Order: sequence, then C-alpha cells, then structure tokens
Amino acid sequence: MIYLQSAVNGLGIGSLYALVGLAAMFVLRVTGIVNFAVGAIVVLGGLFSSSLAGIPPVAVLVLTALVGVPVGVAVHFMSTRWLRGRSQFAGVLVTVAMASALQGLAYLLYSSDLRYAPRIFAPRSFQLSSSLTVDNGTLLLVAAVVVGYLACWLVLDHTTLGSALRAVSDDPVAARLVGLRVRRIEITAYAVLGALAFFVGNVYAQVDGVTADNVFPTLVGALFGLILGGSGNLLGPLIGGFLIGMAQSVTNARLSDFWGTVVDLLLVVVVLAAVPGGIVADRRQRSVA
Amino acid sequence: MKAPAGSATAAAARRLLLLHSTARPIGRRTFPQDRWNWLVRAAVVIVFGWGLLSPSYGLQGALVTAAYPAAVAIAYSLVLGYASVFDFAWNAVVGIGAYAFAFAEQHLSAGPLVGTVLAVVLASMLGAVTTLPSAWLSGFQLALVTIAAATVFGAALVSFPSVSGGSSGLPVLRSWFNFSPLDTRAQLGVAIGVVVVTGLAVWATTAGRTGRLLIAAGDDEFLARSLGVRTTRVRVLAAMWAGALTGLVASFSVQQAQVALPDSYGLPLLIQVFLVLVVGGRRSVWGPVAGSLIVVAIPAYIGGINGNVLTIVFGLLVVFTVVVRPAGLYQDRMRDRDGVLGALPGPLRMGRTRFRGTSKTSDLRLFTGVEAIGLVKSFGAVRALDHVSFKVGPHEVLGIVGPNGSGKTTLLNCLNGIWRLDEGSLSWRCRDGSKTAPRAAGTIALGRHGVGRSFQTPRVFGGLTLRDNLEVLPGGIRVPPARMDAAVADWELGPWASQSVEFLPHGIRRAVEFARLDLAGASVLLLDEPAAGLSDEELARFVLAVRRWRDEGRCVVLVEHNHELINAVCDRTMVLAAGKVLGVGDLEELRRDEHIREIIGDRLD
Repeated sequence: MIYLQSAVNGLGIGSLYALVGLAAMFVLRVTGIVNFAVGAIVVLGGLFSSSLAGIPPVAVLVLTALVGVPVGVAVHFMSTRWLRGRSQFAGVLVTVAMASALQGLAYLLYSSDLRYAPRIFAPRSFQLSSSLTVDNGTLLLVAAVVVGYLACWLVLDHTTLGSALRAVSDDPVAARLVGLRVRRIEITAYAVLGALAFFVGNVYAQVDGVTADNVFPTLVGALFGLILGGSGNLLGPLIGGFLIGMAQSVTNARLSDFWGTVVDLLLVVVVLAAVPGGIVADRRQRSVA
Repeated sequence: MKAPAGSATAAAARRLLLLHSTARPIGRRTFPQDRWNWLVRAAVVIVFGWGLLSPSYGLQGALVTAAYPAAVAIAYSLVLGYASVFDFAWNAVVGIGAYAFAFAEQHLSAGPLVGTVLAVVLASMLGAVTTLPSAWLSGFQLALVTIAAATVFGAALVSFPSVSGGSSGLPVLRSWFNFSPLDTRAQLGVAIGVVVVTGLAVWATTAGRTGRLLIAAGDDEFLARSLGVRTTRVRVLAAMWAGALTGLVASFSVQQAQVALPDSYGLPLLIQVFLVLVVGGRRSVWGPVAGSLIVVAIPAYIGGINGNVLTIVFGLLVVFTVVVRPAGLYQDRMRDRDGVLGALPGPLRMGRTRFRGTSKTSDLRLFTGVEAIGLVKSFGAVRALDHVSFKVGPHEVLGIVGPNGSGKTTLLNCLNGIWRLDEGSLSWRCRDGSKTAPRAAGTIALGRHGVGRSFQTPRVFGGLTLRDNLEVLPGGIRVPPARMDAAVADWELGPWASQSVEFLPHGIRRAVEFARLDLAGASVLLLDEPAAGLSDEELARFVLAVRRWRDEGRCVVLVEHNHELINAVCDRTMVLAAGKVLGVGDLEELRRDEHIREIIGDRLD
C-alpha cells in the first residue's frame, strides 16, 4: 500500500515533469530545437509569482502568464533566434548555456530559498481509502496538465497558427517561400511558450514551492519524460513525465533520493535501448501511412 | 555548354583557391587566420611567461586558477571537439579523478603515486562508461543522459559520506610537491607543466590517423560507418584516453585546492569548461588555453565579482560566441593529418611521414556480388520494397531505374545495411567463390567487406582536408602515397588536395566520393544517382571510371534517372515501380513493353 501512496504522491512531481516536457515539446515541434532553457523559464515563473504577495491568487496566475510572454520572447531573441540553420551541437550548447544564465539570474534575484506562491485553493486532503490520501494540490497539478494538454492540442492541431507552426518547423525556407512570416511565427511560438511556462511555474509554486536549485533537476526529469514517452505524440511527454515522477517518488520513499536519480537514469537508458522512439507511438507517422 | 576542358576547371580552381586563401571573417572585418593564430599563441606565452617572472601573487594565483580548467578543456576537446560526442558528464570525470586522489590518501593511506594512478584509471573508466550510451543515443538524448549521470555522481558524493566525506569533502594533505601557500610561482610552474603535458598528448593524438578517425566519426557518423569505421569504438577509446588525461589533471588540481569538495564538481564546472572550449576553439590545443585566460583568469584576477553575475555573463558569452564565431578564438590551420612530424610548425616540419602500412585490397573475404531474394521493406503502411529479387556479380554493372518513390534508394539502403529487412535475405558472394548470408550484417561490417557507397547528395567530412577525406578507409587500409597522388591526379583533385572540403562545389565533392571508392578498393559499389548535377566532362570521366571498375572485376549497382548514362555503362537494367521489379534486361528492350514505357518514359533524358 505504501507503494500506491508514493505513486499517488508522485503524480505531483510527475505533473510538473509532464507540463515542462509538454512545453519543451511545443518548442521542439515549432523550432526543431530541444530547448534546455525551458526548465529555467518555468522556475523563473514560479519565483516571480511567489514575489507577488498581497494580490489575489487568480490575479497572480493571470499576471504571471502575461509576464511570461515577454520573457519567452526575450529568451528567443537572446538565444534560439540565432540557431536557424546551425548544427544540433550549437542548439544544445546555446540552450544549456541559456539555462545556466537564467539560473544565475534566478539566484541573483531570489537567492536559493524555497518560495511559495499564494494558493488559489486552501490545502486540503481527500481520503480515497483507509490508507490512501491525495491533496488538492496534486489534483490542481493534474488539472493543469489536462489544461496544458488541451491547449497544445488545440493550438498545434486545430488552428491555422498550428499548421503555420508545423510548416515552419518542417522547412523554414519552404514556409517562407509560400509566404509565411517565419520570424514572426517563431516569436509567437516563444510568446506562447513563455506564457505556458510561467503558468506552470505559478501552479507548481503554489503546491510545492520552487527554488533556483530546481532548474536542472526539473529539466532533466521533464526531458527524461519527453524522450521516454516520445516526442511524436502529445501524450508522449505526459505519460513519460508521470512515469518518471512516480518512479522517482516510489524509489525515494523506499530507498533514498540518490537511488531515485539512479532509477530514473536506468529507466531511460534501458527503455531507449529497447524502443528508441519512446513508448508512445508516433502519431505523425501513423497519419502518413 | 561545351567548354574547353582544361581551362574551365583551371579557372574554377583559381576562383576557389582565391576564395580560400583569403581569411575567414572575424565579425565583419577580415583578418588572416594564420596571423591571428600567431597573435593568440604569442599572447598565451607572454602572459604565462610574465606570470612566472613577475612577483605578483595575484597574477600568479589567477593564472594557476585558469591553468587547470584549460588543461581539462584540452583533454575534453578530444570528446566534445574532435569526436563531437555530447558527453556532458565531464564534470563527474574531473570529480572522480580528484576524489580518487584524495581517497587513496585518506582511506588507503597511499602516497601520491597511487593516488594519481587511481585518479587516471577511474576517470578513464568513467569517461568510457558515460560515452558508451552514444552507441544507441545521439544528440540531445545523449547530452541529457550524461547530465543526469553527472547528477547521480554528485548525489553519490553527498549520499555516501563514509567514502566521500559528505559535504565537507576529503582533504588532501600529502602531495607530489610541498610548496608553502605563498610560493605561487612554484604552483604556477606545476600548473603550466600540467597544461603542457596535456597539450602535447592531445596534439600528438590528433596529428595523425587517430585525429582523422575522430574527426570523421564526429563530422558524419553515418558516412564514417559506411566506410567501415567502428564509430562507437572510436568514441569510447577517445573518451578513455581523454578521461585518463583528465584524471591526471584532476589529481594535480586537487592538490592545489587541498580538498575535494562535492560542490566543485557540479554543473558550474561543466559550464566553465564549455565556455573555455567554445570561446577558445573546440578543435585545438592553444584555443582552450587562450579561452581560459579570458574567462577564468581575468575574473579571478579582478576578484570580488558576484558569482551569479558571472554565471549570467558566461552563459550569454557562450551564446554570443556560438553565434558570432562558432569556431572559437583560435582555429587550427586546416592541414593534412599525416602524423606528428607533419604537424610541426613551419621550419621544424619534416614533410609527410613515411608510409609503413600495407594496402589490403586483395582480401579474399571481400564481397564481389550479391543475390537478393524476396526483399520486403515497409515504412508504416508504405511498402517501399515488395519482394524484390535480383542478382549481380563481379565484372557487371546493374542499372536501376524507376520513378521517384519507387524504392531505389531504399533498396540501396537495405543492401548497405542501413535499414533492416522485414523479409527476404541477402546472400553475398565472396572473392574466393564462397557465399555467405549474414543474418543482419551492419553497415560497418559491409564496409569492411568492400561494400562502398556514394550518396544522393555527396557526403564528405567537413573538418578534414580533401586528402584526409580520401584516407578514411575501411579496415585500416593504408594507401601508399604514390597511389594516393595518382588517385588525386586521376580525379583532377590536385588544386584542392590540402584544403577543407567543406566549401567545395558539388562536382568536386562527387569526385571525392568516387576517388574514395577507388582507393578503398570497394568491390561492390552502390551508387545513388551519381550523375546528377555533373558537367559533361565530369560525366565523361565518370563513364570511363565505371567501365574501368567493371574491367577490374568490381560489381556496380547504379541507381540513375539518366537513361543515356544507363545505356552507356550498364550490362543489365532493372526497372522498379512502387517497390516491385517490373523487369530486368536491356533498357531498350524493356522499353518496348508498353507498361514499362508508361512508367519510365520513352525519351532519352
């Protein structure tokens, strides 16, 4: 039973991984770059929202998402904007460096304390069975995953913006030749990313609190989820993120934090050796067939 | 469009030579790379020389602080720079070296010699282990997994305090040298010694064949594999060697620090080494040293800068450098990698090293033909190959024609071991007459058995000179210099031989591919639309080469849209459509069939 309780607790961190992974996949789909700075943007969003004391929590959520827009665009202008036509090497290096710079900024502005954002719902636990409880924070995170998934699904697959975004990612030159404003579309994508990431940061800061120390662990968990689940399907990062989060939570409860990181690493290395594309089928390939 | 052959190519050569003798741009202005390199080298020597002579503790301290990251970066350049492996666990490799040294003293009560040996061995092993996943992971996946592996290492340091001393670390009391803390000049001397030893080791490693293989595996892994290079092995061995050097450096840097602390070997160390490499130049020895002077020594000398501000500045500096000057401050002159002697600077250069190898082109295990039985390959619901059977042997040129999307390139990829077959089998005929049907022969193994490939878009190793491109050959074949010169002359590649192939035009790159197949002694040649984009003279030369290959007993499979070329060189032609074989035989006879004519057209173009 203790396993089940740990697994339920893992839903919280799993949701964070799922959401960050979703954000990472969003930029991957649009720009063709795995952006290592996504985790740092999320943490920055959480820290920012935690500094807005004295404002109603819902207003904080909205304000945070709005502030995320210029932050996302700024990250694009300072890093990924230059990466078109560059090697994957440049992409990884630049975004890792950007993540490190943003983490430095987070330390500079907010030091390394654990900070909380004002909660929309007062903390409450629900008794599922005699030995199984779940708190509404976890439920809020899971709800955020559903919202994030629906938003991505709607934007990517069911709007003209979505088709434009996919066209730009598939072939920027051809997209430009058919008259798409590639630069503007990329900026839009990063604006959406910024809003999404700051939204996620706020929700997480409400439930578990954030610190600048979280930047790389969050990123690694989320990208692990992304490659475990596969990036060809919107469900990939979600399922992968939840798996990673729950595996971590169960191992942490039974052994120690150290073994949690080991288990995650082994999980990813072994699964990728067996299924290189991730465990969720690539929907795009199927639709071609 | 007929131009006099000689003058046209000569003019093109002159234009290109001109293009390449001018400098690469630095920002907007241009400044000759060679002169710039001399400047960087002089600056490095002067700064360190001045540091040794001057009485300033501050300067000497700052230079010591810069020297160790420089040495680590030089070793790491073999992995991240030359072999382009995203092994982002190098901070852990440094860490395990440092901890091993301290551990030997604390727990084994051994002297510094044992400590250093342990550091070298463990760091070498960790370097190899973290590079191993590159066998099935690449790019960002590998970066991520190795970052996570380094995190595991960091967590282990804190989680097992009985071994690692926990967060207070392991102190180092006995060292190779016992300087007083005020004797910064002697400390600087040792640090410079470490940099020089690492630099010489890396320079010697990359000057010859090994450097060529590393760059080949790093620049185009796929091409390297088709040439029979065991890329995973190359990478892991490179990481072992780089890890050993890193362990050596770490054992000295931990003596300087006098304590091994977990926080010293976290992600910031990795970012620092990145920065040093990226700013300095990731494929050189002088570059990292110069980079380290800028990004480590200057802030250390000024002192008192907020660490977080530095992190931000450094992060943005990496971005800036990658964007503005991707090759870094110092870019090695492009040169043939023919050994340590040839790499010596100017007056000391002894010319090309003597040839010591043998060429093994008469190997009896070379394949000379193939029989395909019922090949099936599907991608999703698309059946790219649908029970394709054919046979081709030595002294034969088989043409394959068909509309785009008919499965021609898929067929070549299956023959080449790139795609795994869904059904059917391949039976290879060996030179000694025997037959072999390996269940799943990989690209590398086929390359080593003489299966050569040219690609739809010519592939070359951008970081190597043209001549070096021709020397990346299967199974360690070494070509005698005379034969190499003959091949270069045959394919009219002379004017470009010692230059980077990166900016060469299509026709020349294609000729590089052909010359490579020639030199490799490939006995089964899989050519994917080789004539596309060639000029008339180039085409004529190619036709002669195919006839010569046939006369030499090689087997050529030629995928082509140009029916005139097919008629000129092919013994038999196979028509493919929608993954099925419509017919095999003489193209003109096949064309009489109305159905085939409908599919492949009846004009000669």
